[in-house]
Amino acid sequence: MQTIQKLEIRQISRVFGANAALHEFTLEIDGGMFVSLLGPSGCGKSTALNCIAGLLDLSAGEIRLNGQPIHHLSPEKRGFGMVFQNYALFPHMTVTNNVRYGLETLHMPKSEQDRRIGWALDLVQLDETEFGRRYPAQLSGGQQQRLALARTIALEPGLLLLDEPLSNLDAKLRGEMRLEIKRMHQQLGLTTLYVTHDQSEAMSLSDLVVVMRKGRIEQIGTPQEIYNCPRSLYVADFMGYSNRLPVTIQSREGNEWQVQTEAGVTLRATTTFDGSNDWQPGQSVLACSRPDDLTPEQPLNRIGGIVHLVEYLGKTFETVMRLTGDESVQLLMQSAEAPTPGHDISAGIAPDRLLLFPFDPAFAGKLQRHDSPEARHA
Amino acid sequence: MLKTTLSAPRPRTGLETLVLLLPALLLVLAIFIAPFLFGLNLSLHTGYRGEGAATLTNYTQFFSDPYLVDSISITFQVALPVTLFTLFISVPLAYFMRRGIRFERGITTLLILPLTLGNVMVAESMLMYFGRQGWFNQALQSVGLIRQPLVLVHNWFGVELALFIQNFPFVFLMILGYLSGINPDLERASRMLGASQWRTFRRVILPLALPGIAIAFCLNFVANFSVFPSAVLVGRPDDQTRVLSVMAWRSTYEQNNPPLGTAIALTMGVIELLVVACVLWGRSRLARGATLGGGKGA
Repeated sequence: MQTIQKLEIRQISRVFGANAALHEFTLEIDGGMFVSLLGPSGCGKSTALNCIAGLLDLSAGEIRLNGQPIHHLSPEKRGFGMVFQNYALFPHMTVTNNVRYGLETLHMPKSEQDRRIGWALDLVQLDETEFGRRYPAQLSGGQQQRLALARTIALEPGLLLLDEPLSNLDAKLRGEMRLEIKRMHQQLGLTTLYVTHDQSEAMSLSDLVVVMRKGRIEQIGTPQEIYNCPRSLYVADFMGYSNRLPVTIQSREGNEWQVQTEAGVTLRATTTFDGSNDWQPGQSVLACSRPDDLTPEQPLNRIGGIVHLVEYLGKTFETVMRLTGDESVQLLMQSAEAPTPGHDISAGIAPDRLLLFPFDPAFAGKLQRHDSPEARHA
Repeated sequence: MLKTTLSAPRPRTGLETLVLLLPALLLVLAIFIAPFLFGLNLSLHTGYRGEGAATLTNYTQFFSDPYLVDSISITFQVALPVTLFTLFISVPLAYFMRRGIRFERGITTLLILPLTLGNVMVAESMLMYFGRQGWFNQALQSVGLIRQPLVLVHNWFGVELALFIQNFPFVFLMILGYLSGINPDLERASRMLGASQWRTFRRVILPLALPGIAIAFCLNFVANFSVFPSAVLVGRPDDQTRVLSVMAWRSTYEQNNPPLGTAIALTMGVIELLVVACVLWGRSRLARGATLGGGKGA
């Protein structure tokens, strides 16, 4: 298989009827990288993956592998491997034959096939002597997942495409398999494109994260960049910036701004994107933060409120506080000690962790909590 | 309330099971078992009403008379080619329509139409359309493709054609159901593993559809093997299409020998059962994993 030095995806689009499922998607991947496409369902991430795999034709754009255009090639000629969300194992073939299926197309001697089957099953820790003669239906969900990986990796594909491979597993197994995928990537250095709606998966696995929205790329960056410096409210929302405080611009000092809440508290905040330079004093913006950045221990940027609800998260307590002076605004904060509901409380936030975004009524005011604890902690 | 819903279901007594089964059992007894036993009994006697002691006379007569026995191979010659041909047409067609196509509803309606017409109507229309002076021959002659009209009815071919027209929709729809039920990701996975479309069809689609194709074959074969109206109306029931059902009818109503007719009919049934049993046996051997993996869509 052709290894990847560089995969260039240039402005590819895919139109279904009147809808652009994917719009001018552009991405460059260097060999050995682990890239995630992250977004909610319907954001176009699977469409992008299928277009790169060749399972969907492009409406526009081009894909180049090491400088050669490949977007006109049928999927079997691209030398990419793909693991499907439902694994797509061949139910009428044994475990061994599922892995052999792809190797047979490479026209290698049977002894070499056997060697590769053994190697791949070993790699995913599926014992060939125990499971080799079983059929997929006789495997557990986790084992099916391992087999799906082995079947693809046995071919040593130039690019490994993973389409939400963990979403059918339970939470414990998901964590295990996530580590497995990470280990395999480190061991083999396979260039990998990973589609997921789970931000914690994307964060923990990737070198590069592509956040998508409505068929377009919203932000590309390392996990740290995406997490610490989301460039839009949408990405911030996805990264768990659930505190949104409507504030008014007062003054500016470089990248740092002085803003005032509706109750008259003055705060210092930063922006993480470039389009904000024209904000004028008096303009309304949203100041966003993650609950774990808003703590009583932080001396700067203090905000006062009343403890409304307290939730124990394991290591910390998460508190819904209602702002003093404007009880319609609720913020989430975290503390080591449990606050008492009904009491006054105050918490602070570092100015570089309080991010300013243009005012968007769709996101303003309401406290939108991420339901899964995982999403909150990531 | 909670307690009753949580408690394990009480095992049913034998009597309760019997009572619950009774309506279905009676129906099967009345419309299948009873006539079958009546026929079996009749075939083991002689005379118009089947008098005297039980005897195998009818069966020995059937199997010792070359004219009668020959109709077994004649029936096979009528039933087998059209069954295989119908499958041969249906499988590729269903394969190309498995993901849905344009005008699918219209096409499907067109395909189902012959099912609603009935054998006699199809046969009569065929006589008009495919006859010596029918539109089909006239059209071919007028464009100069043929000089003499083709003989398309009142022979073996006519029966094949009639059976194809009648049974194709049924077989096609059955196989379409099986093919479109195969998880499309399996095809995609096969392509991603380097297999061409043809190899994917041969190694993934076909093996997974085989159980369904086998069932379609059985049902279609049985229908074709017991052909009667078409064999008489558009075939040559005295010669090329002298199938078992024609012989049974003749023995019963032309020679006034219902016991012999019944013996022929039962022989026909046994042969059908043997063929079905063979096919199902082969199916269970070939498609072990395919049936195993049905559950999880894996």
